[in-house]
Amino acid sequence: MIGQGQIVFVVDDDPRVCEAICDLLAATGIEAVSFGSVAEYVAFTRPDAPACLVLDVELPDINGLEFQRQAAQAEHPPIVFITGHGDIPSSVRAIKGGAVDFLTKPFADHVLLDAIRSAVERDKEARRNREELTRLGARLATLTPREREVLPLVVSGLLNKQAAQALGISETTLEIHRGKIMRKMAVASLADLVRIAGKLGIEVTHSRRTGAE
Amino acid sequence: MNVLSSIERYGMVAALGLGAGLIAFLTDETSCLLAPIVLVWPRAGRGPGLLSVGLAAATFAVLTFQVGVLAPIADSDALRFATFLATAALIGWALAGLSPDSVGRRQEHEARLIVDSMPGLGWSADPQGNFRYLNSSIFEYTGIKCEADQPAFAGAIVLHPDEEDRVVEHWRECLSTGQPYESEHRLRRGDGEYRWFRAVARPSRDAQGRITGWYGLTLDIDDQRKAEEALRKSQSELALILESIPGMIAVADGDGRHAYANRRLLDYLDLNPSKSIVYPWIEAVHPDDREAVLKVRRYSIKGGEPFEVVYRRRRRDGAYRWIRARVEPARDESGKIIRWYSLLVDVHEEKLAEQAVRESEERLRRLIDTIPALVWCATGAGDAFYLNKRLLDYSGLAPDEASQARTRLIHPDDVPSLVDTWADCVGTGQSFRIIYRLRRADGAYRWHEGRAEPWRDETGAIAYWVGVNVDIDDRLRAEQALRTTQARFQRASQLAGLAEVSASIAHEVNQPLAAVVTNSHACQRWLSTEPPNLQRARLAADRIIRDANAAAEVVSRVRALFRQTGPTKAPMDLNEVIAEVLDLLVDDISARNVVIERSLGNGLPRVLADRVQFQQVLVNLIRNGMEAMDGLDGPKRLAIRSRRGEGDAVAVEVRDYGSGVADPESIFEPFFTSKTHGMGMGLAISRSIVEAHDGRIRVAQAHPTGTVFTVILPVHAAPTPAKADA
Repeated sequence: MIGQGQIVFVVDDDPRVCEAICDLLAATGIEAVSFGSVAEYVAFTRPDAPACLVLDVELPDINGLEFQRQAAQAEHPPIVFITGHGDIPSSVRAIKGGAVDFLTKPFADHVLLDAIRSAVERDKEARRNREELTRLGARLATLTPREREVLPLVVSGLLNKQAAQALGISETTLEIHRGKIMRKMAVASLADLVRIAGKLGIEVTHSRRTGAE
Repeated sequence: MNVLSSIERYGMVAALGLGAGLIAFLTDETSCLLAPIVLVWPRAGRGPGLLSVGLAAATFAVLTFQVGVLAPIADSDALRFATFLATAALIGWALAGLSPDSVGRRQEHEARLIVDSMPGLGWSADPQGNFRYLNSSIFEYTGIKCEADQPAFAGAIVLHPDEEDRVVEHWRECLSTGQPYESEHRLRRGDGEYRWFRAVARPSRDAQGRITGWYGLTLDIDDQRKAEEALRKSQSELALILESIPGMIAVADGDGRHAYANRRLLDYLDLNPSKSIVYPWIEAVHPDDREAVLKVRRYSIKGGEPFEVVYRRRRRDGAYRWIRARVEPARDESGKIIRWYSLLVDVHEEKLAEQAVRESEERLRRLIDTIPALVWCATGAGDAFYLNKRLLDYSGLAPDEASQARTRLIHPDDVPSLVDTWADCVGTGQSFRIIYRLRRADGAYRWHEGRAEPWRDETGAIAYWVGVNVDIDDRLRAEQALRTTQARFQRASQLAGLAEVSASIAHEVNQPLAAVVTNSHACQRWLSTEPPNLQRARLAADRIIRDANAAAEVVSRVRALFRQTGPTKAPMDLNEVIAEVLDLLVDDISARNVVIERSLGNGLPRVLADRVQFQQVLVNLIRNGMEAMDGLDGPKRLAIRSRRGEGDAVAVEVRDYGSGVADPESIFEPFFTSKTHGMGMGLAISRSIVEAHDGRIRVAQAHPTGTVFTVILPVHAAPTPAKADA
């Protein structure tokens, strides 16, 4: 069940359809905002909350599929397409572009609600990921330049001795750096550090074997 | 002239006779009476001799017996002597007169005889020119009645006035010089006609050379002169002809050497006529023609045959012109050629014209052979005698086989109609046009369109028929293919038309429908909450009503659209339209494995209807019927029947063997559908169309199963004016 604090955006040029969907969502307890065109939707300042977009394919200012392509580059809530007459190429294109579903009007309520539900779930997930990355990025920012040099070597799985050698420092110094990193990054184990480094996109530059050479 | 001498002579005879009688009386000697005969007879002939003797005797007798008168003379010696002397003198004079001085006189006499016997007008004149003697012919000719001795006769009065002066002058001149006289002049005949004469005279001279007289002969030369004149005239005419004939004439001798050229030829070649025309004539011949000319000439002269040659010859202005030379030999009695006569005619213009005509003919022939059509000609009686090259090539006939074209080229099946039509056209002179099959050289019969027009002469009779054949085989096939394509296209477009209408209606209706469905769900949910939110449910229900009405509005707009378009009505055969629609749907029918049972009424009256709209109605009904049987396992049958309806109407029935409809009337409402696909618009539209035609559409449950739709159209349906009730 979709909880409070979530929002569904509806974009359709037919006000009757917007109205009907919004009322249906209201009956289901979902907050919804409708727009007659993409331009209106883009101009709207979206609240920082899990959301999804119910988008009509045929719109007066821009084709829904085209807007999907543009929105994919920014952080955008998942899209559920609705259309008057759906055809296979359009639906394939929509799904490939990351759409949650592609519904042909008229549609049953549960179909739309299911699609919206999974879309919002997907947005929640995405938002969680983005939050974590932000938090981890902030931690990463606290590392000294030397510690940033050490981090990739450590997550690459090099032995302390090998890493120290690679940086031309003593094994003891390296161990000190490593301890600071673990503390600053708020991880309890090397495994956690490796996982976080992966999320942050820190590349594994050395392998243990390569270092041995 | 001899007039005078005759008087003289008889005077002398009389004098001698009288003298002799007188002497005989005086001398009393009778023998003296015989003396005159002795004297006269030899000189003047027997007659004058006897006459003189008679006179002498008479004189003697008178004197002897009538002495009274002359008695004094006889008595007186002196008188006798004097008388004697007188008598002697008289005799002497007479004798002198009769005496021959005589050679001249004899000659004179003979001359007269000659003059008289001259075969013409003979005359003599004295040295002064006075006529001395004129023969009888002169009097006969001139008709002048005058005495032979009349000296007053003047030759001038019979001279032609035009020549009088000349002739007289000449005569005087001859008289004075003594030259022989010669003249030709006209003399008037007794009847007034002048005739030509030739007069010749010569003087006669004595021993001393003095002119003693003139002797002349004037001969009638009129006939001769006229003949001569005629000859001269004909000769001059001949010359005139030669000079004025519009041709150039040359004459050569038997060996071909030049002898004469007429003025025209000389002028043409700018040659001097006085010079002998031995000119290098061959040089005047165009170099290209020289050999041919020489060859013909040599051959001809050798064989003595006439010949004709056309060649180019240089004119005096240096221009070469076409000349036609005709050369004929002339032979003498022995057959030897003595002359070659050549007639040269400048045929330059004709030749050029002829060339132009030939070129023009050649052009025309090439034109006829080149034009991309098969051309033929036939006689006025309709027998082909000419086929152009294209037609010969096409048919494989030889040029002389034109007359066999009909029997050899025309498809046997087409021969009767063609022969009939052709005979009709040839008989009436009407334009000929027929489409038939013609055999190509490879044996393939191809469709042709043949046309022919008569070519009339001045009298209006048909001289020729000129015909053109066009191979329309490809075109016919293309047309056929096109017709098939068109039929397909038409079918496609009609189906597309329906699909488009459906799509457009779908789009228009889909939005309110979607809203209706969503609102319905919302309404349900408001009612399902604990407690039910009736207010929100009512609002949702209101929207449902509103949106459903909007959908209905769309449909009525569509129906209004059909009405507003205003069908274009035309008389229409219902059976034809049924056939067309079945043809249109043939793919659909076979795909659905439906058997169509057709039962079309005969002699149905035509109805006034919009064909396309009515086709749509039928398509709709048939599709509906077929779709109603989609789920059927057994054989699918669809019956289509046309018949006369009640009153003045025709009816079409479409009956399916599907499961039938529960509520026959509601199916005509928009969006009523028993099918999983489709929107139920078809029957609504169909009813709109039929009603726009003042017709009715009904549906009924068929027995034992299925549905039957009946469309009834009035026969004399008046066109419905378009209504603006959208």
